[in-house]
Amino acid sequence: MKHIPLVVGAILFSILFHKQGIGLNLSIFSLIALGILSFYNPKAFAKKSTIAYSIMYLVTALSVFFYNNALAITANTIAFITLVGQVSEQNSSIYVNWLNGIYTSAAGFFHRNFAVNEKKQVVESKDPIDYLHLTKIIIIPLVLLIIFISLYSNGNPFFNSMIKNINVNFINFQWILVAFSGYYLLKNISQPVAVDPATSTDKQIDNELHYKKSLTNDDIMKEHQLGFILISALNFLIIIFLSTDIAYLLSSSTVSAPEFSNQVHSGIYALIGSIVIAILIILYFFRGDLNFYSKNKSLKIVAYTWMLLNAILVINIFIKDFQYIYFFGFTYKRIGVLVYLILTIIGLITTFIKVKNLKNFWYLFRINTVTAFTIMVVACTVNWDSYITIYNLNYAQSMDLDYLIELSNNNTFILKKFEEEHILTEQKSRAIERKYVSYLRELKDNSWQEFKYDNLKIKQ
Amino acid sequence: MNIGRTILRAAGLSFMIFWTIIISEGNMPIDAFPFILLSIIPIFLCCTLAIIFTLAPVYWFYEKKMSAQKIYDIYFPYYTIFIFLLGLSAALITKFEIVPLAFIVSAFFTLLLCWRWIIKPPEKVNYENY
Repeated sequence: MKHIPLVVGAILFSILFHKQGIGLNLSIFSLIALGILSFYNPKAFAKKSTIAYSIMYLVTALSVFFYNNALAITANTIAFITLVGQVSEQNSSIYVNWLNGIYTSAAGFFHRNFAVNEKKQVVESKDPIDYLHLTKIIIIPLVLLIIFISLYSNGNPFFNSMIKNINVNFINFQWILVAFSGYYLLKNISQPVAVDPATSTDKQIDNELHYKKSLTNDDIMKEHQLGFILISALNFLIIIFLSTDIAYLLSSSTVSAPEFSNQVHSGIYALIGSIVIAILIILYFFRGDLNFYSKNKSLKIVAYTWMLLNAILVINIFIKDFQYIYFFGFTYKRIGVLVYLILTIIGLITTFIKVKNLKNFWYLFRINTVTAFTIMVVACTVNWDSYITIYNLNYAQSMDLDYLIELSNNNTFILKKFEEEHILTEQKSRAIERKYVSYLRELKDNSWQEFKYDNLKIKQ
Repeated sequence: MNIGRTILRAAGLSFMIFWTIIISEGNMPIDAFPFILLSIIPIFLCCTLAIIFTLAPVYWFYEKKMSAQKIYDIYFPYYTIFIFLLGLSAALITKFEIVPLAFIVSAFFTLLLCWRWIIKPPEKVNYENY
């Protein structure tokens, strides 16, 4: 009986994905996967963290239906792996969840069924498959169903015509192979497995720093001196850099696009270098005993100052990027810069918490990975192509229409409306029209499995 | 570890999986049959190389240091994850075309089953019965 949800899931998997593109099918599969996971692992779903990851997974599934872009599909796949890993072990870090999720999805069945007999040193099947029972649960219901269908068909003409209209021509050998793949995947995730020793080691490592007394008092004092001089010198350097940069920003009124681009991107490279080195240096000095040194207050102050100055550097780049966007419109690269800056600010805040609350390196790694994952899930709920187009057409001081035409089909209706309301060059009008017609054809050709939100906007 | 036997079994299995997937697509001309048979040669070579260069070294290196269970527990998951990600990347690059996909799927399942076969030691003769 326990196989029935998996068999039903496998049949649905093949109906959804055999010879189909991505659309509504991935969203429905997300619901099936969630159903299978919760049906076979109810205890894991009693945990709040599992429920949170399930909600995130559903959010990405909805995004796939609404936007059907690469970001939504990637986010959905990563959310699936995360959830499967979370079900396998609820108390592990997110990156261990990924490891467990990938392993479970790829080879959970092999892991569960081929354990090694330690005495014989032989791999043997742990759970022999009861083929007789399996045949029974498929053949008996099938035969009975056919008998009852023929009985009901004779008794009810409407039912009879409905049965005759059912088309099963889509089932072929490849369809069955896809169903097998679906069964394999669902069977794998039905009982998620954990990769050891990675999972058990991760569970043993907490987020706190512990006093080990690995350095003598003299060594700690020397390290404190080195750290203080180094970070103070770097503070001085970053102050000079920021003052000259702000002075330049205030003095120059009109800047060309290439100049702006150069400023933002060189600023980003400087920022990447600065932040990475900042965090590495802080991690080095605050890796152990120096955290517990009674006279470390001055070192902590210069470290906090450096984090603050780096945050100001981030804000400086934010302003430049926003100016760049205001004058020349949104592009994916400029949005990428904003995302990077948000991640940097969060990285600096978590580093501050690490130093202040005596946390270890794993705390930083764990919290920053969860943050990056959450930002990805949130980012996939935004129709970027649509917002880029709306902003650039209506608010940007200048914009590149060719860039907007080259974006995905998510902005097609906005461009079409713009083309109808404005006088454009013939070449651009034709390019928009071509994009619109081709997208309409694509939407009309979509099967129900490939259905997406834009299908609802057009008259069939 | 009986490497020769494992390679033969792996070649047989991957041959079956590969052609099952290709044939499922349909449109297979009848005169393609000799080529199907000949394909056992490259499949055998691929299996030999994959087993000799990826699986066997793990056992040759660790078989005296730890038990079969330990080798399996420690290396099988990471090996699987690596092979899976490699296969997934290749499938994405080739846009899920049927021939590369058949190769990837057959390679993946064959290598996973090879782990089961390869750590099975040669059976010892029980001299007490003589």
